[in-house]
Amino acid sequence: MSEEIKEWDIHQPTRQSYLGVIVYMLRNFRALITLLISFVAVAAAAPIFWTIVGIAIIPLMILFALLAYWQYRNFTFHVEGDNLIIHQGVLVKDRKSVPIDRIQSIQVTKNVIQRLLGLVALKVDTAGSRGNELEIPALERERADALRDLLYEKKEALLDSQSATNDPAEEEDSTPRPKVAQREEEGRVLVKLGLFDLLKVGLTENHLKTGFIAIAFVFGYASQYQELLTEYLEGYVDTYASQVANAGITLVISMLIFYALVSVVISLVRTLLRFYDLKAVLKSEAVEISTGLLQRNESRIPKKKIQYIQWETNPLRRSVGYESATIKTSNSMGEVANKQAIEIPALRLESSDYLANGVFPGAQKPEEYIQGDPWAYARLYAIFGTIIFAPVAFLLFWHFSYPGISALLLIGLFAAYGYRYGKTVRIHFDEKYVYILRGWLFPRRVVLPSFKAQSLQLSQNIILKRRKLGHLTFYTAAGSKTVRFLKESEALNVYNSLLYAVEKHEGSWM
Amino acid sequence: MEEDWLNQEVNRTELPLIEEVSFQKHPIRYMSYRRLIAVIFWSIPILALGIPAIIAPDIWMAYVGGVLVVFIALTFISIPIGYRKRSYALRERDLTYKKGWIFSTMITIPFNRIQHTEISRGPIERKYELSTLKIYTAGGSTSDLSIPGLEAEEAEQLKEFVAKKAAIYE
Repeated sequence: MSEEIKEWDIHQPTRQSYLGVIVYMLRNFRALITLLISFVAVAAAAPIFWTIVGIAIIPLMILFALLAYWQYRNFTFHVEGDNLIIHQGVLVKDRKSVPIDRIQSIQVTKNVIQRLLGLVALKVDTAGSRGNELEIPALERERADALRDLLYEKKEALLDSQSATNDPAEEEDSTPRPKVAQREEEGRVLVKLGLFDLLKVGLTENHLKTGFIAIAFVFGYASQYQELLTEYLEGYVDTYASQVANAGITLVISMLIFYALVSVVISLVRTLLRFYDLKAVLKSEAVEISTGLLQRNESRIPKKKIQYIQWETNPLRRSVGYESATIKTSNSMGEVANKQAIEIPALRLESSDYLANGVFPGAQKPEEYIQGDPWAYARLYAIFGTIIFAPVAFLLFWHFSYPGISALLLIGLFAAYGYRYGKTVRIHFDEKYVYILRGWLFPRRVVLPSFKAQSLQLSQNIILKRRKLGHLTFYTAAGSKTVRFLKESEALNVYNSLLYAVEKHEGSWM
Repeated sequence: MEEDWLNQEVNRTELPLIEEVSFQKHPIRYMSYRRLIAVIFWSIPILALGIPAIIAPDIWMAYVGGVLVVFIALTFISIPIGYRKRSYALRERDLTYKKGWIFSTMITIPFNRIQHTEISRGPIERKYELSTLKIYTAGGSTSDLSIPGLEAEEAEQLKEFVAKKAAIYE
């Protein structure tokens, strides 16, 4: 097979691995099953549906299998001039063409099926053009690697020839571009997670959040089939309702325990699925991360594409000596920003520093900061607190007379938390970087190269204007970051200095 | 990377200051344009309430009508105030737009971060010979800037200017 790949001519339209038929077939079957499930509600009402399904299922499966074969047959890829061309489609034939110099990143991923078949998917992401992400879903590993290297090589050659014709002053790098061979370098392993580490990460997730996600998911899913559920459960609901009334507090407590347990279990499972055998390597030109149990992703993030890095932690995770880092890259237009965020969930503090220095040379931990106004936060939280607790206090007063008013203390507590939180909101900038810090229990730190800012915004409402405070927002190609309640004069100073930094900067920033 | 500029020490007092830039207002016509938009917008709820009020009047309609009148009055009061707060400034290397009365914002986009620019004119804008200039940066729609109510000719010139400046950095 490798002989074949060595002799493979990229300029000839090439099909994927013949095993791709199976990949397509299983995809089609999954679509079929989803389709059938969405008819289940109908089925419960009309039993004849089952008969129809029973008769139609075999022909349908054969049809979908044939479709898979044609999908495989009609899918070819090749390089024509400076473009990567993909032909695909059964009924509607489609030709996609991507200029190779516009390729932002190439990802190699594999899910369970692809892994069993020994295949990988190659995903090509381009910037600026909506819907132009290409996927080649069934490639042999060697061919995928060969194709990836070839595309990178060609891209570099193209960019080199472009910059050679341009004014040399506008050349973005003074150092020569890395050649493909150099990508084989070892690099420094930032983190490699074993099972025990995974356990620690799983247990120190923000369970409150995962719990909410799980509940939202279950409710969202259940509401689809609500009609069906209520029909079956109607008999139980009445008895259940009376039990609820009786059990009262016991039930609430057991629900809370159940919620906590479910959240922890879900956190563990999620962690295992997402971060199994995670390995992050810092190389001279890029960060490489491979991770995942069922769906394995290998991504290579060129340092130049990194817009900013955000470090986060929580009290639990800090206690085991870890913090997590999220690397944000420029996203193609219209894409969900989170898709372009790559998370490293467990970094030891020294690896964290290493990552910061490796990606952002010269970034330090600054000692002096410009502060947000903590009293402004206190006021904001007091307002939130009043909206939430004033009606509660009123209700309690109604029922229990004066002791009920003690609920108003919670407003004070809220305001105090706001003040404490506001104290942690800080920003610092030097010639190269902006550092944004915030959060008390869940501290968060962002390092953002100043020239990556695309626009700046100062926003104030009428009250803040009188108090001479304002919010400062940095827009980058990977989303925005806002620092609230800065003194107007200080915010303007940052504003002017950063504009200066951006406007002085020459060359590419994405 | 670009070490030559990164190491330059900048005296903070010599920074170009956005506070000291002179801002330019929109043409007065822009207010008429906003008024017409407001008339069209509010005519829908007025009709929706007014027609049943004539056919079958009821007391709750008076309350809703009262609230409606307050909102409409506020809209028309806010038009001249909002107009006074709306202005833009052009510098050699960036474009700044200020707007908003209760919630005011100032946004600056450096020319070397602009992806593309666009002029759009709706039917009502055409009536008043106004244009909207839209400026796009990379990475989603969040950082886009749109400046409505520009003189058609001026918008064209602005676009030319911005596009030319942006092209230098391509």
